[in-house]
Amino acid sequence: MKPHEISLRQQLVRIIMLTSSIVLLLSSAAFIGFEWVTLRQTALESLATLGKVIADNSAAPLAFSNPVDAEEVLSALKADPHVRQAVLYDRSGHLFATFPRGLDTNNIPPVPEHLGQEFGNLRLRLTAPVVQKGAILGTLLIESDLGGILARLRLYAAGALLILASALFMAFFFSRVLQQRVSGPILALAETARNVSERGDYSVRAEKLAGGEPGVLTEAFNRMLDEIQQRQEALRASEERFRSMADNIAQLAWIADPSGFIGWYNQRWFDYTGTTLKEMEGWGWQKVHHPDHLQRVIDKWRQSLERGLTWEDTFPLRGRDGQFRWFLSRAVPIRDEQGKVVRWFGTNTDVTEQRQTQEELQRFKNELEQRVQERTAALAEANRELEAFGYSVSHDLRAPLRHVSSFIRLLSTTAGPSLDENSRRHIQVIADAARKMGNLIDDLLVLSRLGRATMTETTFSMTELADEARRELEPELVERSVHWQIGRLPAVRADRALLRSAVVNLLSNAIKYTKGKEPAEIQVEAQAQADEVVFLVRDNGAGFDMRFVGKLFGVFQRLHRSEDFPGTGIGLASVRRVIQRHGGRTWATAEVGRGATFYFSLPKARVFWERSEKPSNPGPGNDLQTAAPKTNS
Amino acid sequence: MPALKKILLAEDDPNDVELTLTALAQNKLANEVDVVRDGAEALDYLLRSGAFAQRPQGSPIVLLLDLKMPKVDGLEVLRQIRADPQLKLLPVVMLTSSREEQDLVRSYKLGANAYVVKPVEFDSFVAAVKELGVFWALINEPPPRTNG
Repeated sequence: MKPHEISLRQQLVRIIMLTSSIVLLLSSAAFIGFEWVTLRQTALESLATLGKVIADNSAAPLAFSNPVDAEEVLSALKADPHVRQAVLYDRSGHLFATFPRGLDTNNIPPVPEHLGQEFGNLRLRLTAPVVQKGAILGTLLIESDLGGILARLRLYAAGALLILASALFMAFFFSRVLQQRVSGPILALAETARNVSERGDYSVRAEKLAGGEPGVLTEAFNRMLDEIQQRQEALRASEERFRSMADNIAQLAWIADPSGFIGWYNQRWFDYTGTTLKEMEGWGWQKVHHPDHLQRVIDKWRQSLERGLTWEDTFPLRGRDGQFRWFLSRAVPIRDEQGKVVRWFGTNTDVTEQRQTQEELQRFKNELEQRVQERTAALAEANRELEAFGYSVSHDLRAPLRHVSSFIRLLSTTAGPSLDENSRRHIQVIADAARKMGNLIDDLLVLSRLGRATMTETTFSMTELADEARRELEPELVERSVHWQIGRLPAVRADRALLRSAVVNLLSNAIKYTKGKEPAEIQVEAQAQADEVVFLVRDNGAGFDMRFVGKLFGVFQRLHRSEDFPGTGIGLASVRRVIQRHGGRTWATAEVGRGATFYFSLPKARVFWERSEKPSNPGPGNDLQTAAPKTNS
Repeated sequence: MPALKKILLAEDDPNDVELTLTALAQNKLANEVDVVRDGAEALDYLLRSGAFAQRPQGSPIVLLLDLKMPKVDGLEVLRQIRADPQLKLLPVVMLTSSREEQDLVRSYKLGANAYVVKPVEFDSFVAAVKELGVFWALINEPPPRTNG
């Protein structure tokens, strides 16, 4: 067990044991040291006393040079078992007597140079002078061992060890019992914490076993667990919501880390592809891609990863049935507060149906375009034929007509006077018919030209155009009294020549059909409607029967006899053609004998009202301002 | 005063030829009128080739040119006249039944000096021919004489 893994309980015991041991050892060492000093002092004093006695007693033998007596004196040292040897030297330093007797002379130390005590090598050595009446007779050397002191010290040491052992035992016993109160609550808390961390069960709570700091700790721990449990619950709920959403959206979805490693797919991905997370993890998604698209998809995906830009691509993915379906795929980078990409959230939306629809639409469009092209070509062909027809009409029909009328004229000039009345009338009928046919051909040509001519659009004032048309018609007003009311008209964008012919036609009609009305009233107005502007020409002339209004704008359709009102029946047809070419409509209302109103409209986009021109509500124009002077020429 | 220069009329329709000559006669125009009946003949006349190789020198004072003619039509004749260094200054009046805009445009583009639509009414026709004759034969100063 490593040190930091030692349990609190063991640590407490160890600390107590260590502390006790140190205290006991220190006190024992102090005691033994004191004893050692004391004992040595005692031994020295007793040896000095002994040496004094022996030295005094050795004075006489030395004085009389009696070694036998001297040895007798020394032998008294037997009484002390610790005295190992003693030597008596005479005044000149020669060996005089030894103890024990006959001591090996080789081992005898020489006469020491100093007097006094010497302590060393577990020996105590005493050197004392032998003095009689103030004269030094010789020197005494006594050596003693320390056996007594050591024995005593050994005894003390044994006692100290015994006390140490029992003290440690007691300390161990008490610490075992007492530490329970301190470590118990903490260990219980630790056990709870271990359970929480090992099982991840945040619902358990630590039991409060004690007050004080451990109690505070337990409470804090429990509060922390409460909070963790709540957060975990919230997290689980959030996760649950995310999963149920992610698994139930119509798209396939996935999450990648910043390197592009995909670690999560929603259930739909697996349901659709029939794969497992293990197969798909990381870059495993390539397995369900179509080989024709894979490289491009990888390149684009890598590019987005590098640049941190939203990724978008459309490609086929293989389903569990082996069929490919098309998916519109998008991945957005999710960034942290520093703007660093932390993950990518991607979706794949099945667009197979849309693509099919689109393709179908495209096919329809192509077909339609082709058909339009064919029709356009056919129309162009028809137009060319019509043009050729118009051309030959203009040349080939007019020439014989011209001949008829010219030769009739020559005939009447040369033969006229010799012919009878009836024949001259016949010649006149032929001439009139030829003229009428010429007019018809001319009008027909105009009509055909109106339909074919390329439109050159400009923006111009309708007021000016109407004025211009009125002036052009002045020759028809000879001996007529017409009251004109031309309201405020807007500017329009159109082919001026075509529109001019239409306006001239309408005004000319109005003049023609008001013949006999004195004065004739002709009004021209414009009315703004929701999406078009309506122009109208109203007269108080002959009018017509509304039952025949449907025929009005047809070619060669006439509602009046030529004797009453001459005409070819082409004018209104050309008006309609011109207006239709500008995207407008034509219609008319009338009452027999009370006048007629002819309308044409132009799309709003073609009309530009100048400031304060636009009438606030459809109604007659301001005739005070706009009425032209009465034409009476 | 030198002899009056001729008027050349290129016209395929005999009725029109008769009417035109009648109109000119009624207007008492003294200039002689030569008539050719199609475009090819008109070019031969002007270039003094083919049937007209023996024609004495001298350009007409004006060419009255019908637009629609067999073989070579009026526009082609006009184009060749304007392309020929000796003929390109010759006054050419297009005389036609048609008021077709494209014919007008093409004629003027090719360098026609005038464009006249033959009126249906004979009186108008006579008046028009008179105007033409007077203008081109008498009033208008012809271009300086070229090598033709």
